[in-house]
Amino acid sequence: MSSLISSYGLPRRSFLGLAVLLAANPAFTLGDARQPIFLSAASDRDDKHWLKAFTRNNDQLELLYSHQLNERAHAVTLNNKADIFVTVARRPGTSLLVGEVQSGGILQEVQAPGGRHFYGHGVFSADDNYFYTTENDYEDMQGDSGRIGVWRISNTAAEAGGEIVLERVNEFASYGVGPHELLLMPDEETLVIANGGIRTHPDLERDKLNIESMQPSLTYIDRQSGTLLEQKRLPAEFHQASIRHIDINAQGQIALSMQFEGEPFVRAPLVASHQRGEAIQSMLAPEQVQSQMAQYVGSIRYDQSGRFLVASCPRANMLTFWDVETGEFIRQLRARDACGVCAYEDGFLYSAGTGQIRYYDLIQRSVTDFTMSDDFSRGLFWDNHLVVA
Amino acid sequence: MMVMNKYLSNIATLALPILALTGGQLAYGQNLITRDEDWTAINLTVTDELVIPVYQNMQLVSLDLLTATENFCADISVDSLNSLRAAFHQSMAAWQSAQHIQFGPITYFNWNFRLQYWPDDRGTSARQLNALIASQDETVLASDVFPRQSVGVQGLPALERILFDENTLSDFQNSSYLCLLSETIARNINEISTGVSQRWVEEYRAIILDPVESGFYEGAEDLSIDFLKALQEAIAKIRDLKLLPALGESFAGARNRAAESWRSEHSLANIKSNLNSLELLFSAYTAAFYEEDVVSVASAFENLTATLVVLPDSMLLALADEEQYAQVQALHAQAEILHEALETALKNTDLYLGFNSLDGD
Repeated sequence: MSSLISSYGLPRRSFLGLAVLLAANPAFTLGDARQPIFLSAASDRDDKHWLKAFTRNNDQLELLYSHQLNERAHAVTLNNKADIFVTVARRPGTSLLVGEVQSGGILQEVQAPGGRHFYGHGVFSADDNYFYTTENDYEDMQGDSGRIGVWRISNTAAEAGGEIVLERVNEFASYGVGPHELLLMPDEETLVIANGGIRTHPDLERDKLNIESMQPSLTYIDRQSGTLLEQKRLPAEFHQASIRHIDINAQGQIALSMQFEGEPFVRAPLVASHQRGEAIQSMLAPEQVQSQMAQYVGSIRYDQSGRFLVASCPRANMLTFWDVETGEFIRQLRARDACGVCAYEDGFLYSAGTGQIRYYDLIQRSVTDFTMSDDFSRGLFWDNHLVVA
Repeated sequence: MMVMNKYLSNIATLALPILALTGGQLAYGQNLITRDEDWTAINLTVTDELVIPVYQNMQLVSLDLLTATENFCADISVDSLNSLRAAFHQSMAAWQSAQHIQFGPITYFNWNFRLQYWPDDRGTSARQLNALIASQDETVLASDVFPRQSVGVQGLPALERILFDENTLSDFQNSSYLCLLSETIARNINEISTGVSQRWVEEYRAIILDPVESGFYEGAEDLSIDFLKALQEAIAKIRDLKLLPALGESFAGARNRAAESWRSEHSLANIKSNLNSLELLFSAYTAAFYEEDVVSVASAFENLTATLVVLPDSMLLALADEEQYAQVQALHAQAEILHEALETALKNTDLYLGFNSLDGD
């Protein structure tokens, strides 16, 4: 295993005012902790790829900064305490972009080790010292090729003015194939991994190579030793339900979302929950809704209470809302090409491939539109995930 | 040039007033139609003229199919089988005229897959149908049970498999179960067609009229995009699923059995029905596109139609002749040109068919 590959550290403030596009509204104060900062990957009509950060100013959304990326990213990971974001390339991309959340300054660009590519997700340790990524050991075409990359973070935010360096120090097995989203459990020592189960190889574009035999799993490992702690699967008849995205609430309950690779008419679970030591609890929408979800959930998030879920279904142009306490589907909302979702106020902010960003209030059951300047939203396709700092 | 004239007259009647409203200052990358009421007017025309009549026709001809099945079973003969097969062709043609509409009521209760599950790469239909026939189980044919059976035994491909075998006549003479099953499938097709048709008339038309109030759509443009996406995806389906696999690697390697409706030898007839519907649908939305893009798309449709008209209904026949094989190749290339022309037309506006929905992870 190679250690650190093509990474280089940059002074924390070096890119301020250079690569950063400041907001259209100069009155906005960067670093104002009261303002939420939303981050998402995006692409544009010219097939350029971006990291975009924006904030809300009453009924307006205002661009804070924008960085062009050398390949399409999938999700942005935040560390609010350390004021760091990491943008992770989507499969089969190999780059991470590290920066400061508040200022938008770029700190580092990192490449995956040889023989590895990312799956678009990462997570920080609670002590801010480590960053973990889901990866593919793509030369292994037979075994459990999923890997968890371990990156040490040096000179964190506590040392203002220093350098941030992500250094590859280790890797673990993910105990599966095609690991996708991973999160840190509330005990701060356990990583929970959605092993999607689908084998791919970067030379074969995005072809899925093992649909008939795929075995996705929800897997818990010790973040320090990499030891397997628990692994759960859906019933065997749903082995083609690729567990892709997960969220976690304060009670340590995991919400799972799936993408079903089997027959399009099968009533397969696309949303589920899991509590350590128990079986996965599947949740199904009424038949008329479930059959329209197109066997695909793109993103899943708890609301701020940790009781309600949103599961985005971009192929069905809708968001679905669920109550994990009762295990029931609540309602659906039309939202063309919407995929990115994050908990915000009494509901969720959601972003779409159409360039739209809207807020859905769970209590009022109302949708709020925002005004956005043309240079911010026009011709922009918001990618899979949206996060808020 | 008849087709071209039809498109240009649509531009004259629909696009010019809208351009006039904006002073003709629109640049590429903007929508030519900006008002909800303009989108709704087109959506409503499409619904009333190109959607509801098509489903109502399906309802009618599938009833004829059921009657023909019952007649055949009452008098199993070459003549009654020929009548039944003709009725099947009519039902399949009616479905092919509606096949591109993959949103709205057709997606309820898996009605789309229950009418036609194709392509069936895993052989689901053959496996399930053979098992059902071997079981001779009449309880699963009950009206409240059959809709819950595998989609592979419920729709047009299942009936085609039963009706277009070289031994169909003798098989039916030797098995009363085949009659019960065929009648059940034909009744199921008619019930689904009736359900879809009624839902459009009684529910979905109201949604078309007021898409936001219904909660089903974000706006009239959102709904129009469903129609345009149906158009673009159907063209891709013709190119990628209905033509390319059958062409194989070469004339010698052509694979008729990879084509849709190969048993009934109507693979190319299906594409004729598809294109007729798709061209009408596009012509309804020409006001949404720049004139030169409309001309490109119209020309691509015209070329496809011209190639198709000289080909037989049967892919088997077409692929057996080297010259006609080349024509099917040309058809595939023209479908690609049509797809690209429509993609360009869409790109030149602000209409997006999908980003996450087409290439998510």
